[in-house]
Amino acid sequence: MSTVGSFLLDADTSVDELVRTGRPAVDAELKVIAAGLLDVDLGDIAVAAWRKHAALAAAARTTTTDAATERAVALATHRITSTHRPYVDVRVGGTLVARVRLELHLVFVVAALAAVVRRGRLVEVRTGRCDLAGTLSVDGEPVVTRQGELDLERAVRLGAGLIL
Amino acid sequence: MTATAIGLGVLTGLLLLLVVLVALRTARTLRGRTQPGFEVRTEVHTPPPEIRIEELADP
Repeated sequence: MSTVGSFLLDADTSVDELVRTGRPAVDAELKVIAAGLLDVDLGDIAVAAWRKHAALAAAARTTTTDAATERAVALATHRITSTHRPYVDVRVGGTLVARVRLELHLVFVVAALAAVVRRGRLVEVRTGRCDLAGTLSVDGEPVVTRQGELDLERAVRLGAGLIL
Repeated sequence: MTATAIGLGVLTGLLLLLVVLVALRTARTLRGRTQPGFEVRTEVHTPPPEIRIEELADP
């Protein structure tokens, strides 16, 4: 499993070091949110994006109605952008006095994708190079940024096939 | 002499009680309950992520 945390953070970096606003109650909430963001699966994000691609969606429709067919779909180089924007509101007596925002921004550039769709499911994926850039920010200030290459074929867990 | 000792004991006890009450009120204030009706609350919002895909021109 390739998580955001395994990509963004060094082994000795903890979430406690990333979110420090000086407000203990807010920090406690932010740490929970940040831990959730860092646990997001990178392969799941890629698959969520591919589900929106017209060619893959069409292949899914065709192979769902005709179970005997199998479609090979080739996608050109494409970019997947994923932005998570959770936030914590601080209220005193019901009045909003502060809002602290977290943002996780990920950009995948996938050089090529060859996918096989069967019975409406993504059953095989071959990709070329995948470059990934990620940034985690607190209140607009980046606290960790990283760029690198991702083995997307390993990151995507197909199992018995993913419904498109 | 005995009455003075008892008086001092009672006074010390009252002072200790006062210290405990002040400490409890301070702790409650630090927890965010400054006054009835003015509770400090935090609310977590996690909207769904925005995921986009776009094809790029091959070099």
